[in-house]
Amino acid sequence: MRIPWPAVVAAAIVGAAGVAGLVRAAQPETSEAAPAPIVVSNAWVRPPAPPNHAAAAYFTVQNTTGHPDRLQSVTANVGSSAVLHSAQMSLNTAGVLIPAHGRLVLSTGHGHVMIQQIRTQLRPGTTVDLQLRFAHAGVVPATARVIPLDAPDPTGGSQ
Amino acid sequence: MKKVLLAGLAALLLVAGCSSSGGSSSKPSGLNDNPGTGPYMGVGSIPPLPRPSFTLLTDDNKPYSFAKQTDGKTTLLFFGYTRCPDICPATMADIGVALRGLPASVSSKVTVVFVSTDVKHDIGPIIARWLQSFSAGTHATFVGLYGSQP
Repeated sequence: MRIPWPAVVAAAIVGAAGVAGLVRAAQPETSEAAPAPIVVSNAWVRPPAPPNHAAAAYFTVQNTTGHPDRLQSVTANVGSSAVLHSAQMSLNTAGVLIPAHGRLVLSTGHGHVMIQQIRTQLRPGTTVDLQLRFAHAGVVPATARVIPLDAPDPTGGSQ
Repeated sequence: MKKVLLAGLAALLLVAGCSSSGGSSSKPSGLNDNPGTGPYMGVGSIPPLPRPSFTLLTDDNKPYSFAKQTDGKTTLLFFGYTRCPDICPATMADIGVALRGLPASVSSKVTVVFVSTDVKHDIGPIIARWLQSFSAGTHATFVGLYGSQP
């Protein structure tokens, strides 16, 4: 296949301009803040089924950095304590390691945060404030939506 | 849609380890992964699991012989406990969603048996209250069992 010479010339010009810092189309005009080291998404809570007083919270944690981090603890604004229950119970005390550029996905049967002694009624559609403490990234807040008690797992069900 | 929901129920039957064959015979389960050729859609266990036989107390303190009282009935059997915030309510929620999606003529023939594994905490009134969250709006029969047997 022959490459038409105008294309070669155009590519050379763009390349040279790029090296000279003149091509800026792919970059924003103002410098953006670096991505957060830890991104928490898809946070949700299944409220307690009366007369139970414990709820389960779930979320996805993305580690955007090139070094591992550790989720050490979680607190919630609606209960007296929150305990991380991973699929392997032995990880409870040390927290959960999230590899560099790795993810932690909590879903039904695959780890949850148990919020104990819920002080208020968790109504579907309202939210719960979570604070996730990481060894490196520090405290990362997350807002978890309360699903109806009898609704299926919004993560997609992964039993 | 009905078939999909029945498939869901069939899968739950399998999860519950409760074949649809009566008694403790090794008669093949009604579960079937060939659509349209059996009473249920789903994946049957090979060999079929026999229907377990045990007697525990209902949440209103009456003896309930599982094998006898569910014989010939489409039954979903689940072992869990009410202080479990994760997989127990999620499983019961899934059952409730499937049942509410069925015509009443079908769901009214389904029995859901919840057996508590927390013998120290889960007594009748606690189980009864807990089940209400999941049975509401369905036409199925929900049975909560507790206690222990030798």
